[in-house]
Amino acid sequence: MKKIILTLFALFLILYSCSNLSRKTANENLSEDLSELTVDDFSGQIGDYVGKEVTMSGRVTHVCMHGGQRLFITGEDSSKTVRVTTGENIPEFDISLEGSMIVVKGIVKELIIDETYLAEWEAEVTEGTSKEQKGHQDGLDEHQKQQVETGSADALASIQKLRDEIAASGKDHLSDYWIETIELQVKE
Amino acid sequence: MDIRKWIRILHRDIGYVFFGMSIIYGLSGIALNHIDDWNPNYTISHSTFLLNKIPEKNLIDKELILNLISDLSLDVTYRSHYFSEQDILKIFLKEGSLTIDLGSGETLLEQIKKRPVFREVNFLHYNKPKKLWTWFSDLFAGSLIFLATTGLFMIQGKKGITGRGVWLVIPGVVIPLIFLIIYLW
Repeated sequence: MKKIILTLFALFLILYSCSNLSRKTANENLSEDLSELTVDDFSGQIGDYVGKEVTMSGRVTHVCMHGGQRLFITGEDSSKTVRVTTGENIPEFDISLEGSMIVVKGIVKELIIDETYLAEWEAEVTEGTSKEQKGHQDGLDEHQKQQVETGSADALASIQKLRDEIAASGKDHLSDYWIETIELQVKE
Repeated sequence: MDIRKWIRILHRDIGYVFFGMSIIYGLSGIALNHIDDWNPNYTISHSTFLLNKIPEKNLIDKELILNLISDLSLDVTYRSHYFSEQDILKIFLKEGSLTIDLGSGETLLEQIKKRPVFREVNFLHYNKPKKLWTWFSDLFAGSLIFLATTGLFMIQGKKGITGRGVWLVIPGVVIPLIFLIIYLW
């Protein structure tokens, strides 16, 4: 039994060192082609890069603290930000990244927000609210009821706001862009 | 071949192997159940105060900020800074941030500390390592089904599944069904 446990432990160490080696190699490759793109030159033309691999740099202004699944980077102009999400090789973003200059290599993704998308979202919110209302008399306290009502109202207000933005844009949809990370390097 | 004997042996040994995993998923399960009430990964504290002397925007640099932190007697470590809005200075610290409104002097100190144990167990429960962890946690999930099923047949007689066992199994199946009927179906 001891031999089995020791063998399993040795196997784990080998796999762990292999995984670290590949991560190190990936970072070394990244440093060879440090990004020429910054948030400032990227944000206006992000739509041109959808589905493509990009490498860009920026300062991390916020890391999502509830799951570390996304962060925001900015450049010289702090009114322009780009959202970055984790990827296959990056399980989560550490909160200590806030304030750091990073270089991120990833794929540009796009979510098309059109009437179909908004109608589906609205139906989910409405249906969710009615389910909650069905059960709340037994299950939820006053605070929870308030949260459910506020959450639904917020979601419906967001949906309406997006509809207004689509109407004002003169197009039939809005686009939400972000970068899904392949590799990430902290510069400073 | 005595099947019941093998059930006991496997139930016992698989139970030993996955003791650690059961604790991990149990703890993180409680943490995630209450995700709306707290942040299981970090402890976050906020405090606000007014600056007596508001720094001039065009004079702000690292040195001035270090002096400001020293004057305020804050036990924090500077990392970097930027202007998040026209008159809002955000100073990143080693564990948190300072946000200063250069118009009013109102200052928000946010201090963030990693919450030990819960952060680690949640990391695993959310399957953030992916890859090999997916295999291991799948193995654990499959083993839980095995343990639950074999647990039914460990003992024969009055205290077994044909006796009091069945009465204890019923609420464990019926209670989830009641919640599904009320909230989902």
